[in-house]
Amino acid sequence: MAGKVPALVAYIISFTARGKPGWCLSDCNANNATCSPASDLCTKGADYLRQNFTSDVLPRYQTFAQGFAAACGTTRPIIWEMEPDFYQYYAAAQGGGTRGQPGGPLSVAEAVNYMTQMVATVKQYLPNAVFSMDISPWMPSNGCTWYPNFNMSDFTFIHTSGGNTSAATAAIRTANTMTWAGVHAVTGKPILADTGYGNPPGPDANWDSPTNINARIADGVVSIMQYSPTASTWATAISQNRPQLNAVSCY
Amino acid sequence: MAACHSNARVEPLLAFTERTVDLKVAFGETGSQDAALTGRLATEARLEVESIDPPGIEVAVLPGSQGQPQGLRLTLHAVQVGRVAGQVVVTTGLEKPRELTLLYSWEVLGNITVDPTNPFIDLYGPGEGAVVLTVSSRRADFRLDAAEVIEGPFEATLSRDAPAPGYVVRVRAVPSHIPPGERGSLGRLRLISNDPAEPRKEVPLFALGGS
Repeated sequence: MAGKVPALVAYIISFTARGKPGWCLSDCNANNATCSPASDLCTKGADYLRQNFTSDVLPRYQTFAQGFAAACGTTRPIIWEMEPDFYQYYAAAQGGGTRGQPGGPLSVAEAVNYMTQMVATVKQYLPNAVFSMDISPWMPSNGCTWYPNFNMSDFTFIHTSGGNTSAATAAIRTANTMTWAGVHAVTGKPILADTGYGNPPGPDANWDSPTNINARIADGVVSIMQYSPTASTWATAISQNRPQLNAVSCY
Repeated sequence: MAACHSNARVEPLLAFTERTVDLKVAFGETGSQDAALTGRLATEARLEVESIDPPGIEVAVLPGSQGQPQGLRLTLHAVQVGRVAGQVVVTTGLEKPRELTLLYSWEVLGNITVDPTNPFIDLYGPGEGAVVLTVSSRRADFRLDAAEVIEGPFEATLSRDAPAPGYVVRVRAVPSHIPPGERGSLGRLRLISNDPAEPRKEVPLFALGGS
């Protein structure tokens, strides 16, 4: 690991909500058999976050940050990709509150507050961390009413997650209107394209195409992540592709 | 077949009227904002501040009067540019809920704008890994005196942007200063100016890639 830059996806709200007794919240598209279909992050995620942020979510960030600091030190860079699908707690059809609490989706101010606190908690233990903000591709207007609310100077990158991102089209997902270039223009941030894990998992051959990668480099992508690439061909794919790739802009 | 529709309004037992208190204060000034209690138990609650995390704001309990519930007043003395978010926890004096949490944030706007805010340099590509920053200010008398790298394998050069009312800082990664095999480098740039709020503004630098 010497010299390498670890990058991790902090999907902490979702995973703490999934395992919390009495909540059992699945991903919105996962149809978790152990949970009621209505009990997913799109319907009760905001309520869960309000009631468990201080007791569950923030301490988990603290634990992980302390763990990485102990294992890797606090001088080497580490990339934290914050909370995939974070937009769902604001925009989805979040239901009423439980346990005597008012419900509804997060306000923008709440969403900004929680994100800022999570980043600050990691920074407290890992001053060397570099942060990336979630791209939820179903945001309208390339996120132009979402990102400017956040303290974007906390973030060096923005990132996709969950797979199904399109290498061959201007749109991040063909079912959504957001484009790679559009969200890059709105934020001014370089994009880490997470292309593989999720549903369905596995490497996406479209992201091995130099033509596709160069098109996305022009759109602001500076990195791709393939999930479980084929071990016997991956090194060859990289060495063959690299000389064919255009220079990445500096931002 | 008859259909019956009903609407219900859920009133919380006890909550603050505002879910967040967001203070935006100019540098050097003081600002306050209040949050009152609401809900069925609002007039019965007796608030005491348990914690303010992170500290840096003042929180006072507003006394209730004539059947009106208590509240909180959050005050910020803006002595530092930046944005912070946190939470205030209060005890209620009630059996349930024993505590309430109020989210807060503060923002003190500075005068200086740096674009990009988080410079990123790619070291894989051909040519020299460098990024150009533009530095400007809302103040007409702004003067950027120096731009110096105080940490990391980077160099910075400062010039005046003649067509625009600002400055240009070119930051480049110095490959010979990066240890062999190191794939990521952090750094910090310090901008020294006559700005009263941020006379020594620091900018994070990050380079990724390399051999």
